[in-house]
Amino acid sequence: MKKIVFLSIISLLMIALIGCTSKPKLYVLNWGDYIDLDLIDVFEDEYDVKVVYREVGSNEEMATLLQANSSPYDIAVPSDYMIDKLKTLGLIQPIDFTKLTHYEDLTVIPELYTLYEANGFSDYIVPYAWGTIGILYNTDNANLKPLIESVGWNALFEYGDTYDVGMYDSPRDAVAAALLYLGYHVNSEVEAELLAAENALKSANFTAWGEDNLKGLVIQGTLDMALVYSGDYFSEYYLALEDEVEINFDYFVPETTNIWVDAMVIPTSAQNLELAHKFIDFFLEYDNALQNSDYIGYAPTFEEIYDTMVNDTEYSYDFETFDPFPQGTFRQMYQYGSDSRSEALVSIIARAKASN
Amino acid sequence: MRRLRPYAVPYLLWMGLFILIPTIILIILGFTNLELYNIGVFDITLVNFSIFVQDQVVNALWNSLSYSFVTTLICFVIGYPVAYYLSTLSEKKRKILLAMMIVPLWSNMLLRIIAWEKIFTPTSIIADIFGISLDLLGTPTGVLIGMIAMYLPFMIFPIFSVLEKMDYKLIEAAKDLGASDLQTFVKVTFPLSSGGVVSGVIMTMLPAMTSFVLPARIGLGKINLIGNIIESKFMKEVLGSSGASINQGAIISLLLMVFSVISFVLITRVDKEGETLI
Repeated sequence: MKKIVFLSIISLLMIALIGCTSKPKLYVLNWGDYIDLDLIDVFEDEYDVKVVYREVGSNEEMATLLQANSSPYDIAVPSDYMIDKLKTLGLIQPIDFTKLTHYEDLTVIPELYTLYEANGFSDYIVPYAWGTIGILYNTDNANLKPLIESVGWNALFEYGDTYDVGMYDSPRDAVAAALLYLGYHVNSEVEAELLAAENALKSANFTAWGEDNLKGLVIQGTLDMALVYSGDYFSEYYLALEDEVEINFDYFVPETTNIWVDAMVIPTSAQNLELAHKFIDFFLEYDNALQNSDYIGYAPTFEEIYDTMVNDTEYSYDFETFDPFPQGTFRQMYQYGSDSRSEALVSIIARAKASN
Repeated sequence: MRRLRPYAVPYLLWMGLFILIPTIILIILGFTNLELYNIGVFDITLVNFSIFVQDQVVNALWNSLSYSFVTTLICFVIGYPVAYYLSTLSEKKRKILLAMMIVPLWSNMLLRIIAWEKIFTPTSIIADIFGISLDLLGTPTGVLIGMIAMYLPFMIFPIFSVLEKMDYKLIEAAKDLGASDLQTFVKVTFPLSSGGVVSGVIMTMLPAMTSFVLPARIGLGKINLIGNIIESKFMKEVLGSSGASINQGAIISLLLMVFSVISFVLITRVDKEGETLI
């Protein structure tokens, strides 16, 4: 009896472990709610493959997974500074653009291309979505709009005594905001500038340090304003449109800010290079790219898609801050910098948080 | 009953896989420089302990201890009389009151935390209806109220379950022998309930000490407990180049585990059957 039970358990486990399919598998690593899963179904049917899709919550998590000896991933969607780091570590490989038959039909937005080409990414990535960091504020107080529009980044750092201000609890972004406020470059490695940024964060008197909860705090009025990603604003904006509720918040992008870009890369661990390229190419097909960008709701990285989403009344993404890089503004893109700088960023916000 | 033994095997395997093995991994990570995602050669080292001198960790440890201490104290002061009152009630009334305490506990904890978050905003429903604006987000008071609300039942239930089973004849005997109400309570009732008190204290203090969603949400990220540091070590700081933050997170987790094991030993001392643990 004992043996029978034991055997049955073992065999059950075996069945579970062997898995249910012998189709070729494609391992994809992406952020939560960041792809139209219907399109993945279509891809699976079209190529008779199984896509194993895993979601992560941070670039660091993504890097850790890609770094593992046993990493199975064929596709990942990291952001700017992590692309930089992955490239340095030799964890991603150049993309064979000749295999991307649809790449020629689309044009990467030139301003974006220039930024990531300068970072040395252009052989390694197909950009997926991009945006800014900026200030989300509550419009119930009529004074805020003119104030923020006139003082820009200063609003976050000099008005903490008058208003309730929220800061992103992410070392790279919080320090970047402080550097931008001080007029330095987001990638500054100058010790004096980083120290000044730390002091700015310390003396800013923030009401909250948060993550994706910041947008909710601004909308419900606990905070007057907060540093957020453009994506935070978009998702709340679409939600409000959908629910047909009054929109009591707005997003301001100062003249100089950071550009974030998420892009598809092929890790060196990729087992199925052909299929990985086909996957990227699939998302470059005009209709798929459009459908996916519309699903995500962030600014698309290709001119053709952008034009349709903004000009076609069926989509009408023609609101003011949808374009991450309007004419006459200045944009900077994260580089990874050194490991010691990354560790310094963590310490800077730890000390800043402890002091306010 | 021996026949049932094989059916316990699945869960025993489960425990091995998801409790025993992870604990061993945590111990190895804490005392070595092993890279979790790149298992290879590693050295035994105490270097991860260096994290305990960092300001933010010391600060978080202090917060964990002080917040959990105050929470436990207040829970005890509120909870003991409630448990006592419950034990004196008729069964019908007791059931109603117990239901009112237990049923909300069955709802998701995250949901209850978010509910407090909403109540503590300046423009909450309370402000709308009663004109009282509780602006407690990001304040120690807010975090404490949240913790007390969250963990109070865990103080009440163990004390109640001891008091409920107490032999009432002992109290009658004390009174027969001339003890006043106060003397009876101090000399008879309270000592007899001490097992429940110890369980209650531990079951309040440990989860309070290790909570991390509550301080992050209600404390607006400004009041960090040790759980927040662990979260950040495992989820946010992991750098592409070195997994050292995972090892540091492991050693902090082990410290908390030491607290838990000591507490468990304490409980089993005062409550051999473990009946107050539920």
